[in-house]
Order: sequence, then C-alpha cells, then structure tokens
Amino acid sequence: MFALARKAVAAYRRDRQLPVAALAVKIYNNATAYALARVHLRALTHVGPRPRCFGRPHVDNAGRLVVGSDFAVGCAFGTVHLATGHRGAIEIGDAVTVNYGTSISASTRVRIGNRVKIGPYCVLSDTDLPLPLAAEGADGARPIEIGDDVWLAGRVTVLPGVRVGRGAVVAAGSVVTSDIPDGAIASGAPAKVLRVVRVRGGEHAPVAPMSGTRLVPNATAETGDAAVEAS
Amino acid sequence: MLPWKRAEQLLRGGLATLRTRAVLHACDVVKDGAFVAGVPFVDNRGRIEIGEGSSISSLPVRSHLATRPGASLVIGDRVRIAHGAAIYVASEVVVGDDVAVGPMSMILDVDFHEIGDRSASGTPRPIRIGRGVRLAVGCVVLRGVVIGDGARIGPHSVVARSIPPGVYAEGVPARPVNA
Repeated sequence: MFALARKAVAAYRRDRQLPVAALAVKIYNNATAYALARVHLRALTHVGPRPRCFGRPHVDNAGRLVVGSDFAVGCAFGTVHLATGHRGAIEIGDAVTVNYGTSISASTRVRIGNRVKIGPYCVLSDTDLPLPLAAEGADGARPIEIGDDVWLAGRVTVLPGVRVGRGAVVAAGSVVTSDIPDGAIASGAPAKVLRVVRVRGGEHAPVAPMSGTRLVPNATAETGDAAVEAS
Repeated sequence: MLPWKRAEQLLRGGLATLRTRAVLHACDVVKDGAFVAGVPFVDNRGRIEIGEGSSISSLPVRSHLATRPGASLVIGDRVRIAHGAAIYVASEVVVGDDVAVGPMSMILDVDFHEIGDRSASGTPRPIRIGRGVRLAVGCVVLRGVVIGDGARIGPHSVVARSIPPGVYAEGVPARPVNA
C-alpha cells in the first residue's frame, strides 16, 4: 500500500504540468488497469503485487508463468501474447513493462530480469516460430535470458538461445542473433554492438528507474535499491 | 492416457476444428487438420486453398490473407504461418508443403503502384515458394520471386530476387550466404 502511494506521488509530481482533462484520463486508465489486471492475468502461475493491464493480454499458460511486482502490460493497438508450453517457463522480474503486439513464447525457458522495458511488436520466442505453431517438445528450443534494466525498443526480435546482458539497450527494428554484453547499445539486423556504456553503480545497483519513480544520482551498490524507491 | 483426458482432448480438437471452419469460411478449400489461433483477416475475392494440417496464427497481431478477383493463393500441407503475416495475391502465390513463415512477414505479388505512374496499380507477377522453405521473422517476399525447395531466409530480409534451392539467404536484398 505504501509502495502504491509512493508511486502515485511520484506520478503526480511528474505529470502535474498536464491539463486537468489529460490527468483525469490518465488516472482513470491507471485505475482500470490496476482493477482488471488480476482478472486478465488469472491464468498466470504467480503474479506479484500491483500488476497493471491497459487492455486485455492473451495468456496461454500450459507450463509455468511467473511475474514479479509492478508488472505493466499495454495493449493499446494489439494484444500481448504470453504463451508457455507444457515444459515451458516464463520468469519475469519486478517492474517490467511490456508494450502492445509483443509475443513472448517459451517451450523451454524465457527469463526476463528486473526493470526491463519491452517495446511494441517485439518477438521473444525460444523456438523458431512462436508457440501455437511450435511443435510440442521441439528439440530446437533454446532458452532466452534478458538481464536486469534492459531496454528493448520497438519491433526487436530476440532469436532462440540468446542472452542479453544487464543494462543493455537494443535499438528499434533490431534482430538479436548472438549474445549482447552488459551495458551494450546494439542495433541492426543482425544486431551489432555500437558501444558499451559503463553500467552505473555497483554489482547490484539498478541502472534504470522503475516507472513512476526516478533514480537518485550517485546511487551506490549499498543504497541502490533504496534509491530506486525514493521519489 | 486417462480416458477423461482423452475425451477432453478430443472435445478441444473438435471445437478447434469447428472454430477454424467458421473463421476460414471465406476460403474455397480448407482441408482436414487446418488450425487457426486467433482470428486472421480473410478478404477472398479470388480463390484460397489451405492444405492439410496447416496452421495460421493471429496472436498477438492479426494475419491477413487477401486475394483479388481471379487471383489464387494455394497453401500446401503442414504450412505454419506465424502472427502478423500479410499475404496479398493479385495473380498467383503457391506456398509449398512444410513451409514455415515467421512472425510479421509479408508476401506480396504486386507492388500496388508503378514507379512512373503512382496511380496505376502495378503489374502482378506470381510468387512460388518451394517445399520446406523457412522464412524467419519479418521477411518480405516481393513479386516474381521463386524460392527453391529447402531454402532458408534470414530475419528481416527482403527477397527481391529468386533464391536457388537449399541455400541460406539474408539481407536487403536477400543473397545466398555461406553458412
């Protein structure tokens, strides 16, 4: 409850310049998103606190689908498809946001870290074709791992067996065919690393702020988690 | 398998078949074992044939099958078409058996406009996709292309020229690569 209040205060501070009508629409959208999320995400194995669904995602959960706290799904212009096969598992961390038209499909395992942002029309599938079409018990399935604080822009495709490092940014329209190192900025089809930025803070300090909060500058490894919560 | 599990499986299979027939009612021929996930957009003014055990996904983005009058789209057996695929046919498109089409791909046998006269609706040229071809994510197949049997096309490629059988091709335009 405190976390929700803190998020509301941070969101108000960020959005107080907006016209009253726009603010009202935003509050209405968020309130409905909070209210309906538990209904829309009922097929998931576990959902953390404060999930939000803007619109209705499509969930086909035959295996294990676990989501951390503050999960947000946007389905403005198309749905989000979360699908697991009988032996598949999708493990999503805290404060992850997924935008419309994205398909996440696991025949073996797709692991997504904390504070990951996934843009519209992304494809994350651990088989060549995403799930309703993947042959059951497909041998070709190779697990995908997305590190903490990764930002996948619009229309990014992550191919099977790829690991995207912590704090990496993948530019719009890229196809990730091989592993991306920590803190890299990658672009193109196939994605090439343009440069590597220093991952901020220590080993466990977050790089990106959670939605509705902002990072306090000079966060250190010890205060990293506290810094993210502070508004 | 437990009998009630088997019964449930049969019931689900039957319902899926009925649903597929309803969703694809605009197609001329839908053979046994065809399967749709979600609701693809079918605008059939010519002829569409869908082979045995073929599946079309429309989750999360709708796929699109459209034919002009007199045009024909023939999809072979065990073809798998992923979500967001757009297949537009103005003359003839033949998709061979066991083809896999990746998400967000486009197969268009007409350019819709001419370079000289933008109001003219381009000249269509038929597309032929061989048996066992695999198109990866986001491929675009343009008019007049013949893709040989067993060829594989890399992600986000534009197939503007014909591809010989059995090779791996990628890029814009797609060219065979030694892989």
